[in-house]
Amino acid sequence: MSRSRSIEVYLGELRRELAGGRRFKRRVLSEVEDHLREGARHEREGGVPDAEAERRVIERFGSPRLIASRFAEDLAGGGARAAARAMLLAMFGVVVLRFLPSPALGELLGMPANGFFEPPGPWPGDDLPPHLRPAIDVAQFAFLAALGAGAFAFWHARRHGRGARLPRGELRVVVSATMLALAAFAASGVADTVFMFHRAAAVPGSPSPLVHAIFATVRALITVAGGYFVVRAVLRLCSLRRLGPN
Amino acid sequence: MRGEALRGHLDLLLLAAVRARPAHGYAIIENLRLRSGGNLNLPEGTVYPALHRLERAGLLKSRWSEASGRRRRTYEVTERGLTELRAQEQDWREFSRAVEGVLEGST
Repeated sequence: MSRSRSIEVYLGELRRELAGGRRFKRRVLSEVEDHLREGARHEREGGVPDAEAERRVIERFGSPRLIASRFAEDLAGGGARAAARAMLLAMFGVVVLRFLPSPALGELLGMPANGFFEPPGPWPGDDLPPHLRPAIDVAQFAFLAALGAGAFAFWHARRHGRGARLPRGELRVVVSATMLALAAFAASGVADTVFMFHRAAAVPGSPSPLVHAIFATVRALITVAGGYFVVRAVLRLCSLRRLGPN
Repeated sequence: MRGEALRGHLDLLLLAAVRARPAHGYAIIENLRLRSGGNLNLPEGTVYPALHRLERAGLLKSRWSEASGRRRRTYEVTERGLTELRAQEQDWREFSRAVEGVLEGST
């Protein structure tokens, strides 16, 4: 029997090549082992000797690197889809928090009834400090850029159909667009928070800094949650590069 | 049929292979081989990543069972998977008819 290509050796190689959690690996290895042993049994029933039966079934199965690479590609595709979805949800969450507070919640927190977006009154003397103008511009344009990049990534990931395989080129596009969305989203959040705190201090009747601090914290948490999915998608894409083309 | 061409239609084939009854990976591949008259030629192991992906997408579901003293993962198609299968089947038939028409017209 060729020890170097026995089922045990094959499973050991596959274990080393597979990327993913322990539970995932256990399940994959268990399924693969069942497949290989079942295949070898069928070969033996046809009169093929043990060693040859294992060699044949392993050859038909494909190399450990190929199988690991296909798993990594599908995991990366799932990760890219999840990241694009998470970023869109994060933006939706911020829009809801920022622009659509319910009148009852607004009253409770001392917000203006029309939400944060509309100022409760003009800046004193109607004179917005010039150094805050870039903050407003960055907040608005970066948010629009994040929304555009996030929507593009989501559409791109979904256009192949539900659960369909994402080719590597498409994967890179989706992950890059999602990273761009995350960066723009974070920049928009920082600029918006800076502006809000200045306005709270300058415009009478603005929600208190505490309300802004809570809002900024929630926004930061939403960004971190979206970032988690994006980082995971990037790592999965990197693990694909390690396995090379398939 | 082999390589990338087959890979592009793998989801449709796998959903079709478990439409009638739940099956484990090895049986699914045997089923594909028999029903295609041995013409579907792909590394058998590449079926498993596709099965996992279809399960994550909610088109298949799976459970462990015991057979010949070994744990075995059995896959079955979900309602959503059946809907997707019907849609892909329709696409394939239209595509196939179109190609057939072109090929016949060229002879």
